[in-house]
Amino acid sequence: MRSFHPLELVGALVVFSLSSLYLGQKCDDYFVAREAEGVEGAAVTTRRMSKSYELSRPELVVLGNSILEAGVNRKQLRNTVGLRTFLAPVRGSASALWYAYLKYEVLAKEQKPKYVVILFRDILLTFPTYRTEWRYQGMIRALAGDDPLMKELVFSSSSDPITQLLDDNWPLYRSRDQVREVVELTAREKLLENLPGVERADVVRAVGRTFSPKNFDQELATLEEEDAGISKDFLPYFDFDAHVEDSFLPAMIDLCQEAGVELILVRAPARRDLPELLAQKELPRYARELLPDYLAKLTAYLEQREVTFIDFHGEPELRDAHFGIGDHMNLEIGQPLFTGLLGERLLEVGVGMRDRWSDPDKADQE
Amino acid sequence: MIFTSYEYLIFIVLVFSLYWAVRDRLIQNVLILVASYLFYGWIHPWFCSLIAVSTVVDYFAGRGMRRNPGQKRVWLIVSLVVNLGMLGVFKYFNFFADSITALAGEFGLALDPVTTRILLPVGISFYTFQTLSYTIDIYQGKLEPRRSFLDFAVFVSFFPQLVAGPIERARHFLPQVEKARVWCTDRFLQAVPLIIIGYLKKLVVADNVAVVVDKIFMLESPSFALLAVGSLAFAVQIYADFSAYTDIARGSAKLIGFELIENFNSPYVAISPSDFWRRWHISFSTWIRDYLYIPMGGSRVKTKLGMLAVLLGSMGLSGLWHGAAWNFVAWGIYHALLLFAWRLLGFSGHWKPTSRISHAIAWSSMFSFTLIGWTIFRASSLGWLLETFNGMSLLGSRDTILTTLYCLCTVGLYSLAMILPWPILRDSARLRPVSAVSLGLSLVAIALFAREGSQDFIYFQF
Repeated sequence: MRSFHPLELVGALVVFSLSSLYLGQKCDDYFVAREAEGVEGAAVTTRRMSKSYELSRPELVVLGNSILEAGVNRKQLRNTVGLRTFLAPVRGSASALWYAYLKYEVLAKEQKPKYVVILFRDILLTFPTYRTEWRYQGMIRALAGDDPLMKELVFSSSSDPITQLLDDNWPLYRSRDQVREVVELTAREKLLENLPGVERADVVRAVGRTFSPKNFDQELATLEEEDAGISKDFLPYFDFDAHVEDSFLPAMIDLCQEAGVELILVRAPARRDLPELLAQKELPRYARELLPDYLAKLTAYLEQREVTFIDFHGEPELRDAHFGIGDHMNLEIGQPLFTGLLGERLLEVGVGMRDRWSDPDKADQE
Repeated sequence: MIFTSYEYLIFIVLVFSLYWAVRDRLIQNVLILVASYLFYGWIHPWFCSLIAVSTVVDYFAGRGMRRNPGQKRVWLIVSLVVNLGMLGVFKYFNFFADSITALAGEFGLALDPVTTRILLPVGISFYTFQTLSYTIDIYQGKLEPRRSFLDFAVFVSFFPQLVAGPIERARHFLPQVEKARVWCTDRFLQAVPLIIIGYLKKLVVADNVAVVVDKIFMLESPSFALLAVGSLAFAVQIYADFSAYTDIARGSAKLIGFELIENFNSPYVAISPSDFWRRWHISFSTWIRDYLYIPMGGSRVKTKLGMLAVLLGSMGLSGLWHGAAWNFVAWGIYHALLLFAWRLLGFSGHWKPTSRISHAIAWSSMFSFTLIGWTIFRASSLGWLLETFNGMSLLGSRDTILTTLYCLCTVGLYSLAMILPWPILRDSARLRPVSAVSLGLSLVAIALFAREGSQDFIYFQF
């Protein structure tokens, strides 16, 4: 190895510093713009919510993501449970955004609802960092950027203080995940898009299918994500005890109890649990072993905290024909059925008044 | 402690500062020894006891050979038994116990497998070979035993190369421990770029390519094309990973005034198996040559059968050195057969092609054979390899073809980073501005593409 001239080292540092500043600025501009979409999205939703909220004076608020959007019809639910109902679905959202809406929108209103329902999937209530990047980050920052718990669980989740320091003060470093994503996307999907008859979606699907758990050597994949059938990032979160105290769940329960609002947690149905599909294909390990254990602990915890929990796992009335894309209900027959089921289950646990509005017009007037 | 952790960066800065603050050779050596044991025992302090045993035994074996020349052989045997015994217990016991149990099972005998649950101490193969070279050299009269226990202990445990080499020879390293080190700015200016290049290769290239390699070698039945891409990716990964460790080790050693030997010399430009072994893991291949191949007869063996036996013996053991698994043995035997075949064809030793075309043919064939070797090396087991080749399709379905191209793009993307060190390593005044830019961009690439939770260096497991 030759010896560097001191000026070469100085030059390298200058190149590094200028590149950092320039690229850092570019990254910030680009990604802040993406975050801003989230901020704008949050503002629109918040404005819409505030306006509708004021108008509807809801007794029941339902928080959730696209599963809620596709699966629940507001008027039908309102008529079933006899409560003025407000749905607040944010596509792709998870526990951080639900906590933010709950604390800074729903419970911040002077007129609070009687009930809050959160429609969630599997382990999302105790996975605080899930969906907290890109536009979600913008939305979360707009709603609860200064919230101490949000800072602790989401914005300070780097593994060590040095990374945290770099994240806070070095825009280029802060953007590394997004830069990697953009570069890899360009070098792979977009490059292959140029091949005749190939679209980006084809490439993504092909890679997903080739590296799907069923194609892995089972001896090599024992207890790994491939065996579990789910991403490695998710696996640790199936340990309920290890994550519940570092999640938004206890805080959401506390907030509702302090405000005198009853919280009802509803686990959304999943297509994989349908008896007709179970007969054809065995469940992946996470759904077979990890999830039941997680749910048993979640149920016990919610009982202890006196929170109502409704689980749509194994719901006998649901069929594959009721689902649309993935675990979303289809609008034609899935949404009416699921809305009805949800209403009935809510009534069973004492939420609402049956036949309060047997005349829908009367309900509209209310 | 691993080089890619923040702890190491803090550690090396502290050691560097204290080391040059004291200036006294004796205190500097004490500092290196303490730092080395701290480095090695950072996660598992009990690892230090093993290296301490090796150090004590070989120090006294060396002294014993000098005091009683008539008992040299006894002292050598003591050294071999203790060092290879520890290596055997900690690295190979489970492997042989499992293999014997499986073999007995084939004959209908049900043996209760007796296996240890002891963690393999990282780097045990490296420092065992390093300390063995000391006693063997003294036995052969090539080296004088050292009086200073401290100097010898520093030689055995020197932290920059303790875990994954280069495997130093006492003749090269001990004189450096024994003389006073003076601050040399030139050496510092060599060290910093070397360390940065090491981090670039490891964090940007090896760790990102590893994602593709791991997926492909986990598949139950990859197509030939996909496996070929996996092997190519692994060739990139293992070179980037291992040479990165060497670069960081050499750079760290330079920071405290030591020179470690070169371990790599562009191995993938090799044109024959012997050329490859002159370029790949040089400190290990020369160790095998000097302490196994030559004592077994080496090139003095005249018969073809004898030549093959010597090659199979030395290369088979070198394969086993890499890990307690049959595919490593198979990899060593495969390279022995390559060396033998090239010799039979008259292309051994320092053979040089006479034309560009013959050079291109020699290079491409050697590179292809190297990739086949890496496939054997990386395979999870020989059984997996045989099953995979049995009934393998050439390209596979449309999905597999797209995935193959996708993986190739990923490997290509991250391999591009290997170009950055090129102007840095060239000793050309004209390229100096370019090398400054390259070094600066290397830092940017590290900041952007280093994965959180960097993987361990591959050679740690050996």
